[in-house]
Amino acid sequence: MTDTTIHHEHSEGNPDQHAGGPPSEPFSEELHPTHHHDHDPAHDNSPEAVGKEIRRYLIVFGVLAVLTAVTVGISYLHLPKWQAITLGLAVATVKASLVAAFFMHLVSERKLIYAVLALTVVFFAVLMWGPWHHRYNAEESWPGYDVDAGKPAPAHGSGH
Amino acid sequence: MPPKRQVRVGNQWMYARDAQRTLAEALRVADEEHRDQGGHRPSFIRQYVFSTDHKWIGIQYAVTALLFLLLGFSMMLLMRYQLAWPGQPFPALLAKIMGDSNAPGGMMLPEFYNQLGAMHGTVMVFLAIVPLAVGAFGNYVVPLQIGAPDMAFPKLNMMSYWLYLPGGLLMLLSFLVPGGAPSSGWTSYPPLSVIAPHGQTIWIIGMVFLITSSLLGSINFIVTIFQLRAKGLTFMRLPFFVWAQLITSFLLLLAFPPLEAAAILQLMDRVAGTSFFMPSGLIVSGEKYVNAGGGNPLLWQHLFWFLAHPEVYVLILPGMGIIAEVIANNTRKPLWGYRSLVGAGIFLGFMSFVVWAHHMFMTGMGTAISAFFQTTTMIISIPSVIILTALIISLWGASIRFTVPMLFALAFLPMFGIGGLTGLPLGLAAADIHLHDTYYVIGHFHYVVAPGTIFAMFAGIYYWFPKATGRQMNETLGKLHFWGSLIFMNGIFAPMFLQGLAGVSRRLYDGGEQYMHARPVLHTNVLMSVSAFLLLAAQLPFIFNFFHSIFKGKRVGSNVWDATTLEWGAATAPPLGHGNFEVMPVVYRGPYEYSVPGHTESDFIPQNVPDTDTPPAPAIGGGMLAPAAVAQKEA
Amino acid sequence: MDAHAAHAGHADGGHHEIEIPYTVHARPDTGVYNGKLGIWLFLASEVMLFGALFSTLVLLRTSAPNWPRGADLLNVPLATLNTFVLIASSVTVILAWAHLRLGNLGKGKLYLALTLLCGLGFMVIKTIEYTTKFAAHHYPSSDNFYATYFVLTGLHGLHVLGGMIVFAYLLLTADKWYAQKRDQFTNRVEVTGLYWHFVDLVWIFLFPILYLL
Repeated sequence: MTDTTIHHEHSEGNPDQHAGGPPSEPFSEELHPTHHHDHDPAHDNSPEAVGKEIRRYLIVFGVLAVLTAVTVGISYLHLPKWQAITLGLAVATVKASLVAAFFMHLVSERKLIYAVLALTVVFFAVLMWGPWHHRYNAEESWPGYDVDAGKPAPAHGSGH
Repeated sequence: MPPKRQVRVGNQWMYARDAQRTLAEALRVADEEHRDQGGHRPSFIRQYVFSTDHKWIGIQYAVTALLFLLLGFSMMLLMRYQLAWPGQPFPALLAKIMGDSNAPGGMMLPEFYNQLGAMHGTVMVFLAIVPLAVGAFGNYVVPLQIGAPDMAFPKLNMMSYWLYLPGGLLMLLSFLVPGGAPSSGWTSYPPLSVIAPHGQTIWIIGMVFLITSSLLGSINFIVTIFQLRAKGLTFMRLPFFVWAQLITSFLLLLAFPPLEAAAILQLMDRVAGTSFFMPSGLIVSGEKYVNAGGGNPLLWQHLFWFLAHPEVYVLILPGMGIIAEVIANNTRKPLWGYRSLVGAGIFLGFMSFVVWAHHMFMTGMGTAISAFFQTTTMIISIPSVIILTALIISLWGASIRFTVPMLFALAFLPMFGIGGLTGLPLGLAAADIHLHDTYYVIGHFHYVVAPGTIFAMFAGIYYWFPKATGRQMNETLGKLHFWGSLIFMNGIFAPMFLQGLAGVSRRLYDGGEQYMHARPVLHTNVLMSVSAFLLLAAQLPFIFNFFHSIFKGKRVGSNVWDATTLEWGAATAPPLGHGNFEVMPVVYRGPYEYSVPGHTESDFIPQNVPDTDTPPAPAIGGGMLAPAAVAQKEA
Repeated sequence: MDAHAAHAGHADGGHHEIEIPYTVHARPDTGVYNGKLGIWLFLASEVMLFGALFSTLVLLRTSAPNWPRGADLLNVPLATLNTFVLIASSVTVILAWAHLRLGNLGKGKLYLALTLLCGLGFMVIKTIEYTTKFAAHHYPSSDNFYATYFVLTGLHGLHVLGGMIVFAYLLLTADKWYAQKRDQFTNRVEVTGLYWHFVDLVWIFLFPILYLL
């Protein structure tokens, strides 16, 4: 008969003293030898690197502030509707891209995240495109209305 | 003296009795240590109510969803009684259940019929099938199959369940408010749904709960599958079930939010008086409806079907996953065309986002856009056919084990085939003009979901029941359940095609009695309704079997089906414990290595068995290697 | 079967704390930790949520015979101020994360508090806007312009509120958490920050669409 009493030392000792024995921690790092990253490898935590990042964030902040002023300024020019919409959305897209690229650090993100976002962008486009086919045809629904001007069109031909 | 048997613990051999004592002592010490560190056994509430263990949450989902399934089925039984015998009073017991306000003198009111219709659809889709397919099977099986200790976010997992249950109960509560439950169909089309009584508001709030629940669930599944796969478990080694759950989660993630937005807008239309879905100049009950107008009722249909069409694939993909597992296991062969299956699944998921407007051919959206959606609809049938074909070819030349799960899996193939093929005429705009909103549609999608998905769910329950409980369900009762279900399901749904082709509308309270064109097919109503009640009878052996087997079923080992995937070889099972693997499993091969040529010891090689012919190093009390390590004995 | 003895043992031993891999460190093959993938998936769903609302706006606006220009009805200077406030809060939250990475808890907390303050400022300005509109009898039910305005800004406001609650929680637990699980706390600030930038990003589109065009 072997002595079967287990002493506490056994369970606390290095489990690897028995070749082929199980590690004491079920999910210990030994099983994932490639796993020793202190931080997300995308980010360098040295003071120089972070300092550089901070400067970049402040520059982006400045650009965003300027673009906000620009877009508000444009709105006071009272451009024709479609030009105003195109320009306004263009500026907004640039601003959003800056936020996504630098603040959300998409400039240096992983492939997996890009893949998820690419999929989302495709379906977003589909969602924007689909329902639009059921818009009322304003010219047919409101005859005699100048949709762009938002008021009754000047009468022509038989008139109303 | 009787011969003593020895077992191997670590790299040491000892007598079984000693090993048992050793193990008991080790557990006691571990317990003590745990207490010393301030830990304590989780309370009953933490362990069984607000559990964060994916296995227990899976079981919570399963039991809740099965109850909702029975409830949704009961609602349909009441409707079927009304359809077969319109104008006749209900039997006293059924009349009493419905109550005097819904069925005065035992005669069901048309309003109540509409409520049952809307709630049958809602309960079945959102509270029964999806929670069963994703919440129950996904939760229980996915982490085990990928060798993970749990889901990536256990607390979010708990929250998913605890948003689902109140959401479901809230929906049921709507039967009690003035005006009754929602009665605008499960699709809740405005303007009808906006002017409906309060039950509809509750429906919307309930939907917000359910949408949030499935959103959290889908994020959890995707992260779990990407991040927690065991070492060596590459994507092309994933069991097809895991693939199916991954694709399903992406559908839920990206398709549900538009419905959430639509629900918010409809809520605003109902409570804040906005007109997102309300056109100008609406007349309700002979009076002009006072609102700002200018809204678009068809916008709801777009946002709704943007979810609800991918939702159809949410209903079927996990079922296909289960069927693939069961077929591979019971044919003792690798699945035919695994890569095609995966590719078809991904393509199916992608395409499901660009077919939704085929539900809207009748809205006058123009021939160009109809042609577009008709084309995408025809294209999406291709991956479905690839999946079904691959599963059928997998049967070729196999010596099939006709177990209960396999019977359900085999029946799934033709049943889903009928459901899928009858969908093609609906996807063609010209044919749809005749068939739209008739019983043909009901027959079509019920063939997909009822003898399709629900059979897959039954297959899954019989297949994984031994994993969850350590006991097997009774085979004879299972076969009784199977044959009854198969026959009566067809008795209910096959005649619907006849009625639909004859032009009978799906929304008639009297089953079509007042319409001349319905007369030749009217007699099938009785056949369908009798089949429905017999289908209920066929579920009784299952219900008894389920509960009886939990306590009294035949005890079985941890790999009762001789299966290859990780959940069978590697998990600490059957009893529930938080945590799955004592040692993280390592995967060396694909998911379906059955009847490998040259491998003579057995007709299957589990995924965690290394390539070399030396047996794996045994581990102490290892879940992963439990059968190998502990059962190795010497006389 | 002998296996049963072993299994029965696990039933009692099943209450150990479960350690989920990759909660803090990136998984080598995907390159991200769980929370980061989780938040990006959540943001993907948010894109679809706001996408549906933008789609609604486009459909209603292009169908309408007459759609007012936002600048004629809404308070542009106030909204411009709010835009600056929200952009500033995006900067403060990323500075909080940067300083936590440098190991400077004090500055990290300061910037977190500033973010929270910006969020509060945004909500106060929003409330002023809403109350003036209500006082002038402009409600969601007035017309579809106001309906979309209130629903879109209201839902966005709820997102701001949600972010503020998380920031308050992070601030209150910062000391304890940073001492125990520094990396995890830093990650949580990063992940919350990603959400916050998204809320900012939505506003960047809402502002011109509702107020200017």
